[in-house]
Amino acid sequence: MSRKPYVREVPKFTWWLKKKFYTEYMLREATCIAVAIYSALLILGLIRLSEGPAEYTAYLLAMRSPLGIILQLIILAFALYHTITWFKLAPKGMPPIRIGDEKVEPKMIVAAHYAGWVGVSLVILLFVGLV
Amino acid sequence: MAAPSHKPLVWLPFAAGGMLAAFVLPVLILLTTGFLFPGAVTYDRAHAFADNWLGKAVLLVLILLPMWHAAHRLRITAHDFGIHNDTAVRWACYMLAGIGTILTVVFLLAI
Repeated sequence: MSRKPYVREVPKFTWWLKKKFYTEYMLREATCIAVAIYSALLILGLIRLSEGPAEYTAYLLAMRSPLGIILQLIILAFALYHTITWFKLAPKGMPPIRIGDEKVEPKMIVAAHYAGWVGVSLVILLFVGLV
Repeated sequence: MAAPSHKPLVWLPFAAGGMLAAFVLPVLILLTTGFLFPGAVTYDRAHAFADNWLGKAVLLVLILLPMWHAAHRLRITAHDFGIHNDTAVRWACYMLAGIGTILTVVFLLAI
């Protein structure tokens, strides 16, 4: 170790506000807080569902009260940001895919994810609407 | 030879949960808010969905995988928020997810 090591000053809690790239990274990572809260809401719903109709209906009314809607809109915004960033990183997280001799372009892999997302969402809505 | 790593064990639920969350959470939120098909998750329908093994399995995966994804990501990101005690963070994140897992299993079985 040198006698006078250079230590760069980094603000401990706000460093990620200095650059857009860092902010986007932190927003992406922070989506997990929204996912965790939503998981907790779902588990609460499961508990209420096991307790009976009155308890579950009260839970559903709370979820659809102004406060519940605002909370879920915030969660939805983070969930969408998670979806977008997850798909954006998808080609980097998987081994190269080839069709014949051609390497599949990263943007085609991203596009396939978006197509799959639309498909899955429609299937869920069809199931919910028809069954 | 290197010691066996526990990384695959946390990476699999992280990747699977992240993928599942990306694909289904937005549409799921539209259902729980009632923005789409407000009658879809009322007591009768939710109960009918959850009272058989297939429905229970779907709910188990739907709730637990994104939750474990969130727990793992929160653990890793705590460092960037200025919390550097990974042992404490790891315990807190995985223990909360563990409690969520137990609650989910117990109450799914109770339905």
